[in-house]
Amino acid sequence: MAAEEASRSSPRSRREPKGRVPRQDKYSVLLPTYNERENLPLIVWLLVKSFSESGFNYEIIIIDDGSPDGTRDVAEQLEKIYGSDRILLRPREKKLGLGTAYIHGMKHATGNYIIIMDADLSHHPKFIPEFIRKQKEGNFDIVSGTRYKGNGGVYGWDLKRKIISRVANFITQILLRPGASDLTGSFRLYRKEVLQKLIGKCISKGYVFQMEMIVRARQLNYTIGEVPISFVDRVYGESKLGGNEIVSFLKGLLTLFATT
Amino acid sequence: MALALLGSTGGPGPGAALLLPEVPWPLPIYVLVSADCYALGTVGHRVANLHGYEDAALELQNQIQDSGTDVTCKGMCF
Repeated sequence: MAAEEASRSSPRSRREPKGRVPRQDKYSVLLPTYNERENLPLIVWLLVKSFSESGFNYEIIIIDDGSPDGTRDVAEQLEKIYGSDRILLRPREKKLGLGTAYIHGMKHATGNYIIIMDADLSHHPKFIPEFIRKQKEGNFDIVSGTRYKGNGGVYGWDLKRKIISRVANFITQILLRPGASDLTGSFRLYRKEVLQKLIGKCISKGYVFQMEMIVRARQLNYTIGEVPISFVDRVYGESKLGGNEIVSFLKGLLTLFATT
Repeated sequence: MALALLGSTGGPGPGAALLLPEVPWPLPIYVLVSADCYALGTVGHRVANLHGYEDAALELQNQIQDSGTDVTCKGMCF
């Protein structure tokens, strides 16, 4: 079986009480966007296709942070095409960060599960049914896509990028012992109440924010399952990683190590 | 070495030498080298086994074309 897990037993995992008919699950996909005019129609099309084929109830919440390239106009068109019950546009005036984008999106989410992912086509919606299946199989509080386990992998990374990523992941595993193989990934499924609680406890930004979410989840004894995913980092061309990003990652990692 | 000198100068005697443990001076170097070898081996193994998904990129490129046609038919203006 391709999907693997990194779970801890948890008294906090919710189970449906006996005798009660379970209400239908609904999945709210949060899509923070900034200058994604070209990619947004494609990712929405892939999401609609994936959910329609799998039969799960869903909504897509687009949180645009005042993109200057017209992403909001594209989102409005998509809302008309697919219906306002499926596409919810909830824009903001300017870039205010990922954590607040999730908070803003969750205020409008009617689903009991939240899926977070990137809108730049690096995360493929075809894995969402796998996430859902994995969550139901283990009743996990969080299901995280992993590039580093099982059949997980990447496209668009040269050797240098792969080495940097693996070294960073190795150091992270040694320092934080997180119980998950991919901490910097941002393709995850959360129970709504779990995401609300974790966001309230996280203070980091960027890569480190995603790491802190998993570390805090471990501290609070939430269960975490993993699903191998393929990460296409730029469909055309190769991914670049700057020195500044590496430095800020290391700073954030050391801060997390010292404070958790 | 210090213990050997102590014994040769007629110091406290061989009994005391047996009681005092030898300073394991190579141990930290051994631990450091072993840890570095483990780290290098682990990272090298993981880099070598990181899957490169060329077929995922091709699949996505095809779907980009299909989706572009479909949303345009539905009324999308790019």
